[in-house]
Amino acid sequence: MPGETPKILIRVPATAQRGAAVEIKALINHPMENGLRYDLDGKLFPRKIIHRFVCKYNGETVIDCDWGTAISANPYISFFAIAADSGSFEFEWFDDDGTVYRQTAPILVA
Amino acid sequence: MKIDRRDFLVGSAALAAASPALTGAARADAPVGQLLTEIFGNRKPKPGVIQMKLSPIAENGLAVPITLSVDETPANVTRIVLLAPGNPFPKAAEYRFGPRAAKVEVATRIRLARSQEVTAVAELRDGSLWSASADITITSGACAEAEYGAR
Repeated sequence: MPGETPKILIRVPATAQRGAAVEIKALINHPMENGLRYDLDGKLFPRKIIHRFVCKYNGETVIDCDWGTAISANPYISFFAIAADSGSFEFEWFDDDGTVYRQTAPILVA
Repeated sequence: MKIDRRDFLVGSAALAAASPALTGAARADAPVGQLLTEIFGNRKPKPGVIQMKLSPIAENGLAVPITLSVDETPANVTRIVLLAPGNPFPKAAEYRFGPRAAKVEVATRIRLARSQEVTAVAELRDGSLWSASADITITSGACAEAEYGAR
């Protein structure tokens, strides 16, 4: 569905103690079409997956992932970041078609 | 994209007819050793260091929760590679942890074409490789292959 902005769900704690490990959860609506399925006319659906996901925290990388076709539709990921300073988490999903879906989430570090 | 059950079944049948290599139990898993050589060269992983949490059984393979963790600081881990040798494309994911990672732990959901042994390999900064594997049974029966890739 070109042009459509997928729904993105992100969970980041609103506040955290400095130095604490905070759990980050991110989910994006995406079919992760693996390029192996056929439509009713026997034509192959072209591959269209999110092949890379990156989360940064005030510009520094938390996690950088390469995803293959084995990642489920509506890909979900959770991981842990160190609460360093108040600021924001930046999330980026890289689609096969060249689109980059972006979202940010703020955090207040006490 | 909207797929109703009818479209899905017809499409699945087309998939089964068009790609016999993907159907039936005859298709062998990709050899893990060969996959590892392609990714890591001649280094061989030893069991340990990395932990994998994966249910031993799943009703279908469309979204199987999996958690990977390594008892090392993120700075000590170069990457984690996740392999599903029973899938058409066995390399499922690769994770690298940056300076803001609190620990080496990641959870996600993966698609599995059928019952198989899933393997994860952690590469540490010193070049050593560590692996963990777990068997999983996909119980969706004859439709398991056709369902692979559906939403």
